[in-house]
Amino acid sequence: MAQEQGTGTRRQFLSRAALGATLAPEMRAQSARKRFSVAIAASSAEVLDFLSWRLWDPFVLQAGIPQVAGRGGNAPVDLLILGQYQSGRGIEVAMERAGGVIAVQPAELKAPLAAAVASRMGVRFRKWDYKTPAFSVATGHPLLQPLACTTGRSFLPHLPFAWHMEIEPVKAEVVTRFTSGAPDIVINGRSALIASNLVFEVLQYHRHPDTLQFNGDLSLVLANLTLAAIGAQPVDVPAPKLYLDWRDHFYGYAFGREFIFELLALKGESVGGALRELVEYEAAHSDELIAAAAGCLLRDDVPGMQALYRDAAEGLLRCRLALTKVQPYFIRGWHGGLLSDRMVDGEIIGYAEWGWPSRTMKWTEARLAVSERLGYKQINQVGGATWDQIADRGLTDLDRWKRASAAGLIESVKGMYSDAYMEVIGPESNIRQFEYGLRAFRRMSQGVRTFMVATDDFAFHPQLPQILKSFGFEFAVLRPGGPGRFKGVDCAQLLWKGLDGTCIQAVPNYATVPQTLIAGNGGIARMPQFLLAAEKAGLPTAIGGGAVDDTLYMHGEREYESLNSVVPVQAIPATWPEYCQRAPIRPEPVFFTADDMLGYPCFWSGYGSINAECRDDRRLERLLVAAEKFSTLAAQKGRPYPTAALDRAWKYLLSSQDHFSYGCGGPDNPEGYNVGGLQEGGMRGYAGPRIPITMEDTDVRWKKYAGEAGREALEGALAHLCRVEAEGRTAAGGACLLVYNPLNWSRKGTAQAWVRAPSGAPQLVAFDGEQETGAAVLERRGEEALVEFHAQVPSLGFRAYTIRAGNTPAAPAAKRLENRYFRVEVSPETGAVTSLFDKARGKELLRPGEVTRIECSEPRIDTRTARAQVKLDRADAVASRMHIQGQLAKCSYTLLLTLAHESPWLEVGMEIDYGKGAIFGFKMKPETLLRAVFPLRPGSRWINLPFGVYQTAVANPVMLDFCDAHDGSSGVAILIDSMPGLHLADDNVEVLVSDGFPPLRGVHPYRFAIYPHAGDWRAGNVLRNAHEFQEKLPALALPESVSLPFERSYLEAADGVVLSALTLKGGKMHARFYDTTGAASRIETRWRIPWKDASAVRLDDQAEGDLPVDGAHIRFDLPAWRILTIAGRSAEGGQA
Amino acid sequence: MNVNPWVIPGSLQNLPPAGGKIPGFHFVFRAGLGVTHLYVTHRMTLTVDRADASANLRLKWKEKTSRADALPETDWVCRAGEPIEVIADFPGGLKPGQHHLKLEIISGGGYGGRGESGAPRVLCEFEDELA
Repeated sequence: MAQEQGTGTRRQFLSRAALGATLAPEMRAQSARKRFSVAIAASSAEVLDFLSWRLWDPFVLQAGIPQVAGRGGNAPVDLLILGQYQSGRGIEVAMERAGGVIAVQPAELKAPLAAAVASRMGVRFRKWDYKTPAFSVATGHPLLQPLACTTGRSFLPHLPFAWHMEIEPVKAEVVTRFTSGAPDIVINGRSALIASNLVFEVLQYHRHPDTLQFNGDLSLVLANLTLAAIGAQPVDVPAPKLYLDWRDHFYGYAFGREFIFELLALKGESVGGALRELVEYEAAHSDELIAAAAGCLLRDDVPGMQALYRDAAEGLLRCRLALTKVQPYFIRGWHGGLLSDRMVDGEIIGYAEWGWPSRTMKWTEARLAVSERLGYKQINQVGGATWDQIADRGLTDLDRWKRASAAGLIESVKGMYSDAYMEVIGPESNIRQFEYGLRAFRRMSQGVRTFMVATDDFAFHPQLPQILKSFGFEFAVLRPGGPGRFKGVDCAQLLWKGLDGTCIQAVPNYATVPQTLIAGNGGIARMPQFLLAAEKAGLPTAIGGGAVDDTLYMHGEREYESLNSVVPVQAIPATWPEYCQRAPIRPEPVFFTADDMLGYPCFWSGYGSINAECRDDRRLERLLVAAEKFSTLAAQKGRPYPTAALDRAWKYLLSSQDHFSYGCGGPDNPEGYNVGGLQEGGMRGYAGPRIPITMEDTDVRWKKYAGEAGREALEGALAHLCRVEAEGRTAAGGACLLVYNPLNWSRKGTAQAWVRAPSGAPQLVAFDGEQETGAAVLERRGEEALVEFHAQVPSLGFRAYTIRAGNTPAAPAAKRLENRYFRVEVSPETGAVTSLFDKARGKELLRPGEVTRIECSEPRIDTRTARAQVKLDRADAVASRMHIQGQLAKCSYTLLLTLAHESPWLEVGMEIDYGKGAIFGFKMKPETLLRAVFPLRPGSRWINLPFGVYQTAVANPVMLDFCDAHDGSSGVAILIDSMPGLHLADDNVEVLVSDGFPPLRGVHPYRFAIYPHAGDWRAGNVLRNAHEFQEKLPALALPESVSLPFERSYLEAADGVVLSALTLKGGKMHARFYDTTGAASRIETRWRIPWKDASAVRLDDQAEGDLPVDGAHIRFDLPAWRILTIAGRSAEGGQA
Repeated sequence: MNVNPWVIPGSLQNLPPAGGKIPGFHFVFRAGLGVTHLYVTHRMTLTVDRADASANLRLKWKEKTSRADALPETDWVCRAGEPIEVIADFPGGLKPGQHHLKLEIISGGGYGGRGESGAPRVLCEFEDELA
């Protein structure tokens, strides 16, 4: 028989276990209850489970207790169930020997029904049809009486593209018909035939609003078919409500029983005969009790049923306790989706799980109801942004959620505003994800204690313990899903030590114990294997499960929760605090390196679209941070702080960082539609949104608002500060430029701005009131010109310039890229950089014989061998520039190598025109993608992630701002402003540009820089240079001129410390610093606006102690890698 | 016979004659369970009776037609059961009788971490009889 060939462990088990066949004989002898033997087969494990668990339906149990006698062998059985596509001589023999048969499509697809089978079923086979009507309808057949179905009612759904058998009844009675009129279920005495692939098809409707109804109807039909097939009296009255309310518990019992016997089978010879006998006896006794419980239920005796049910389940629990000492816990969490604040045609626009918001809200409330009804503990891992929308729109009763939270039934976890990849979003976004997220969670819960990501997510880096503890988290779960991996440790619980030494209790990813989830056949059904592995790993307790999104089929969920909420047979349904407070903790803290927790942010999209998203997100984050800093300073000078606008801007930015919107599906993003309207194509009766949504629409809108709000706040604050600080030395008109610097150190660099400069104007210079520097005109638009000039700006401040006619220093005559730091040689044929000579150290930076290039495996691209147009197109007062133009397969590209005369780095601007659409390489294989390749000298490789710098030895890490190649004496850093993906191989540093999924379209700009330096990344100030590279000196044209010279610095701070944010909250300034040296230091800060008082505060704003304030001076100790926020009032009594 | 549930029986037909000659053939198959990301196709090959018929291969989906080598320019993400028509140049057309067809793609990847090995993946393989 085909089913004997099955290799799935569960199927093997069921084939071997011969449940009931080996039951203690005395038990059977004592039982007055009838038993019936069953053989069952299906090619899908889900179908098989569905069918086998329904044998324990309360109605069926009244007729007898099923003894599943395995799938093989030729022993005659009372009932043979063929779940799907089973055929062959073995089946025919088994059918001949079976007392009754329920057969779903008992033939290979497109093969005719065997004559003997057709004869037994009382039908004539006509043909296979590749189109199946959407529904089956009820006939007046008595077997449908329990459904209280009216004739002609559609009640069992089909997949319209599935195949069905077209049969003609000869002797059989038709129970259901397709809407076409052809028979679907027929019965001939004790033999039933189902012409469609019914069970499988019904299970595909798991996201249909009526899925429970479909499922329940099918269960009832199967119960009556079973009764008929074993020769018992079918149910001929409508099923009572109590039966409908409680039947899942009986299917759950079957699942738990199966768990016990699978565990027994897996333990094999290690289980002695006496123990085996004991387990079999307990199970047999429990079977009797469960049958008795079914009787109570059908007599409306719920208390009696509950007592017997508990006794039966406790019998199974005793079996588990006898078989393993490992204490199992299981987490059932749900996750995901993004509900936007947009409405189109009366529909809220949502994505992924929230693509059909009304259905998802009902589903979510149904999960809450399960907890309320059963006392079943669950985890909510839907992001703060979505809960904000739910709360704002009044979509649910938030008090109900709060009560469930207070009762410990629903634990809200993670606490982030959206499901962002923390490793590749900026430092301040890391903080704001929790700040805004926790604020949203307080609207529906008692607060968040556990950081846990879903099984489709990753959000880790080594500074997370510090951030979590500072926000008040107590526990972390180190179990990412597909978009990353976390090094496994086999222990019940550990102390996760972060980069700065902060420790947090954490549940590890096991090293040798496979994760189990609720979804799919690998889910809770894998508990026997999970327990066995945990036992082998020596774990006293083990916790499985996770947060799984609602787009997946939750196989066995209702069965599991029904049983285990009464008695924890398979596992204790738990929340994380409940587990963490009981599980032993390994005493030695464990530090995990960046390489131990690797993110794959391309997982839901690809590096091409990630890069585009990353570029926009990082730019917006810098804008909002700058806007906050200058708005806070302006507020001390009387300008209202734009709290509402900045809050909204942050929320939009944080939402756009969600892993669903973060590059997902690319610019056209059909995924937004396909995931959102997941089943529309195949779901009959689909009633959800039909709006052809794309995430792009919402994302663009969010970013547009954030950009506008940020610019308005920033420019308003700067103009205000300028006016106030100029103390009347302003005049209307003029062309004054304010070059500003949101960073907390003084900077030199190039600034760009559009200014009014008639085309006939002579050479231009930038004048700061004391000296002139040459200004280069990069572009003209009528009377306006884009000028670039060298500027020098103080720390957290600004300097004013005017652009005027003057004597520009002569442009360098050199026809190549060279300044006092660098000499760059470019191949005139290919545009490849053939030499990067570090003049300061007299050292060639490229490996001998190697050149920089762009490479890809599919299509095959290597710019070393492709001709390009190469020319020096700029050599002026500010910089020299090489212009390279060529082809990358069908796509054209332009490279601009710019070397400013005073710049320590070579800036590379790249544009690729992807035309109508192009893909490169194979997703998840970075070595095949479109890459910018830098053949640097051998040595160690260092990357930075939020708030930390790490050595890396893996092939495909991600970086936040730079990757540094250090050869022992000096280094070369590749600085980026997006493009987090790296491939490190053969001593190359390769930046991932474009991916195999999704296609990119149109022109995409990229920016990076090559920065050689002395010493390592610390000595070379790599992080500081990365910040400066990203934050090109911005300039703002003032509406009025000021008397020059005019500059202000609002903060001077020690080297090695970064002012991450300066905000105004609750009338207090909050200045957040972090250490970038890895060494503890005493930090001196000097502020232009003096502080009245100051205290160190945690990220959740809890005060940690006062700091000494000496007017403008605040001194504090900053431990290595620590993030420290100072909160206090301004002595100037500015805006509260 | 290898039976592919996603093939539409009888859809294999020669194209109508143009200028007195049959330019090729076409057939229809259904997208499999889950989603089929046609828009990330690097290359697509069709063999008929093990002979290559990939030149100028076109696909038609939801009333739109694209060349197989231009699929990245589309937004084609097909869901389970959706019919996709394949149109192949094959001068003279197929002779009446049984034919074996195999459609393979080399894909750049897919949604949700679906990586690609770069190896061909069978989209559809079947035998059908041309009347």
